[in-house]
Amino acid sequence: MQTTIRFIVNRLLKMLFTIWLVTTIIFFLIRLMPSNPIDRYIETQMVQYGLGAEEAKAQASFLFSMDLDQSLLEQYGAYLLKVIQLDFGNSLLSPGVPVMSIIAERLPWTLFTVGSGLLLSFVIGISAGALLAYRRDRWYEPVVSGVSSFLSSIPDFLIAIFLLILFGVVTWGGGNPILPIDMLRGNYSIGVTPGWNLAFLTDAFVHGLLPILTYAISQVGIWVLLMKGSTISTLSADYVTLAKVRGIKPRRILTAYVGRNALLPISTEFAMRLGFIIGGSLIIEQLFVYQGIGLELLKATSGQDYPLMQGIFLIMTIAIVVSSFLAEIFYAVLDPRIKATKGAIT
Amino acid sequence: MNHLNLVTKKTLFWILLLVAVIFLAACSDEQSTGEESPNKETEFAGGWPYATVPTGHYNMFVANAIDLKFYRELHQLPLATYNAVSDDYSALLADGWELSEDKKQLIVKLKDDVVWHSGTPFTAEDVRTTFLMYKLAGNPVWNYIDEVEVVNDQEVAFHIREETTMIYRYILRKPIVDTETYGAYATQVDELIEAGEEETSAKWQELVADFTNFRPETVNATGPYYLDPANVSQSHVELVKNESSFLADTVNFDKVVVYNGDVPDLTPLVLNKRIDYLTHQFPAASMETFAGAGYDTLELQGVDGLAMYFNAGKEPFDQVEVRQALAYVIDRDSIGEVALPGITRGTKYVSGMGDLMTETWIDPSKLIDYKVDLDQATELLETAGLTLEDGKWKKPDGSPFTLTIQAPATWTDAATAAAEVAQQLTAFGIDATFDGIDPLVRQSNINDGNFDVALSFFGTGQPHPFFAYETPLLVSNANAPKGLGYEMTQQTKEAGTVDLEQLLTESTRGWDEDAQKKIVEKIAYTVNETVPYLPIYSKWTQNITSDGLRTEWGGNDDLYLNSAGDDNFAIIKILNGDLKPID
Repeated sequence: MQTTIRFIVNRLLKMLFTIWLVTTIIFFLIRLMPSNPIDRYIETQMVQYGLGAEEAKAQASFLFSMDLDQSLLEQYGAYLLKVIQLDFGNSLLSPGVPVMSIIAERLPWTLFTVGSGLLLSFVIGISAGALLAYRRDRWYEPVVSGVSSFLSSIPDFLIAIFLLILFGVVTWGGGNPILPIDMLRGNYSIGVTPGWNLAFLTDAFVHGLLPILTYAISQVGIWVLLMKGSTISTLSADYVTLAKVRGIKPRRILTAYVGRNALLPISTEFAMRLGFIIGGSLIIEQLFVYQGIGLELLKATSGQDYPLMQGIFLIMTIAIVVSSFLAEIFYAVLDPRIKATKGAIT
Repeated sequence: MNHLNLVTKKTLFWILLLVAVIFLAACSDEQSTGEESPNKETEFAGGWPYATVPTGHYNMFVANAIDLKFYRELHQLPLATYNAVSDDYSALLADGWELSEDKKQLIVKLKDDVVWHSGTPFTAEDVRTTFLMYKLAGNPVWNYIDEVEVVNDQEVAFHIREETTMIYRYILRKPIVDTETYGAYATQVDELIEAGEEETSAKWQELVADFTNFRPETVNATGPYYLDPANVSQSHVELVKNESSFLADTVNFDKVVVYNGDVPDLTPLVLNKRIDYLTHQFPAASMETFAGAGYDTLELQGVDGLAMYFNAGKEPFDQVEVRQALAYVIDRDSIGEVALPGITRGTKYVSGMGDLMTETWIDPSKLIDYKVDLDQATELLETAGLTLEDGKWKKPDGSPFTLTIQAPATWTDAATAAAEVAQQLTAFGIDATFDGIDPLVRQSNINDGNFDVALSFFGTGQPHPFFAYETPLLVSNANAPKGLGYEMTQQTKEAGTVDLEQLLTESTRGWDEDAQKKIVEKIAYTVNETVPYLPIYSKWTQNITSDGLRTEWGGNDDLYLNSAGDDNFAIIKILNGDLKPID
């Protein structure tokens, strides 16, 4: 028990150190970006809104209360102090709006779409992968493997564009597209009140459908190929042959012998991808005008909204570090040999 | 085997579920049935990017407001609209305006039959509130006025601090907000002014900070449409008809839809024929597809574009003959053709302004045309002490004359133009290379003098030439740490000794536009002769319209010479009832 506690405390300390290190690097990297938020804002007002230089400058001085002349170390100290209190400050470009509230508003949508896409692709992928490994002699094996390779090599934004045109633009038989284009943009429709009601849930699901499909299609091939490869190598293991010789039922062999061991390397990959869910997908969210964290990060970066960028990157870092930690635990639970080697979790 | 069946069944289940949801969604939405009710609402659809709550909001004076750029004028009317060709204003909320006899006040009379969407009458107090908010926001209009006085409910007097013809634009073109929403802040501004607080004072800044956090929950309207926050989604905003507006019976659409987004996310909407007007610049291939689908393209004369900024702080660009010589080498037409085909066009005049503004404000016949003339360029370089050896130009000290042309690498037109300029100069014997930079450092590099030749902006969509010269001559030169390194006092053949800084200030002063034109002429001739920057091409914008497909745009094509960004013609046509849906 003490060993377990020591292991967890050790890992937690390492996680904290990693988070601090990444946060620090991000803080300075962001400030190494050319230009600064004020100049960027003035440029945008002049180029996009056609304002004169004087008017653009007046707007900028009205908007920005930040002190860019403060030394980097002073800014860093103040930032760290706030972060410890879970205060990420206010957005520069949306004065008075706390970064945390922006993240809290956008993150659930990204978790919903990217998470659902990941789960869907994972479930379909490992099922199909296992099936292909078992049925290597069937005609569909090379077909499905080929399609999987093809899908895993297509950029997700191309899939998104294809789906948008297929569902929202092409008129089948001269009628209407499969889905009204309004249902393919944004998170939910005008007139629908967010809450735990069927109308909202259905509407939000339909709006999220194509982003989910995009994520799922773009990832399913990878899971199929990974699972297929992993299952094949497990099927040829001595303990599986022995189990067959012992006359153990195929279902038991599949679940207890093959499935569990074949899933080991994939579970690590899955856990790591869980961490990356937080980042969302900048291009996919932009294409569907889906207001998730990825789109917010894109806007924050183009406007050099330091606090918002830092907040989103910090949340992403925490998610990735935590999911790595969970992957490690999960791996140890699935594979008793890890426990025996490390004597970690008992 | 059983398990495998189970796997297949699970997969099938997911697929069937997805198909079912798609089918249900398609069937449940009335818009997709294709059956139009006899009373179907007519709508006009455009697009503009906006942020949604919590980053987006309805405080129209603070960044990230859901203001929808020019579409805002459909619900919060300005006092007047502008026509560039006739250079005059047409009254909207105003009934008329005139200068007082001593020309110290601009008296604006307001329409008396205007009510806000909330039911409150529109009065002079609303105009005053609006301009007090602009004072709080530090808007330059307050450089020219020092008080806004309510004479009576239908009359407001702007007390003029600095006489200028630009005052009409600054005052008449601003959308007017209501006292009901912003009145409390207007009162506080009043109190600070009465207390003699400066805009830099702590109290003033405290109020600014408080105001930037102010988030109104409603947007009151005088225009024929109304922005209801309940009709704002991530996808689009629906501006619904404001029946209490005096223009409600004039406009021909029941609602105006503004789709959120930029080129990639608006493309499917155009393909779907859901759009009536966009100012976004689509790739040529997309434009062809849209034309095939029945969309019309409006080609709008370029009012601004890119110019070559010379670093006169560096040798040999400090010599006017060298800058002139380079102007004679550069083939502006060919660069305009290749930079962004169909969009960019070589500039006709080297006046520092756009071509249309040049023809409106000065006599262009006196300008040096800088048509390609390599002999003239050679003569000028030799006059400047440069020599041609083995086909390569050498500086007076004997070193090779080489230069880099800085331009943002990710701006397709600028990068192509810079490469083309480099090629033309190299062919002439000046080794020139294109230096692709991050767009974010473009202005700072110019300000710090870190360039030989840089591509940057010239021209303006605003009606006064001052704005065309502001960026290159003031922001990037006189007011920059190093900038172009171009002396603001110049000796010229055409205009004698000129102080450009003084002329620029004077160019906006007074009420006599003819007198202003004479000053602008001096500036233009000086720029033409001394070439601190060489305008290469202007950007003609292509706006897509559904004219003939979903809408009829009517006549009055003069309006298309308005700046689409600043005095948008589609908005004016909607407001005056010219633009209508196809029956």
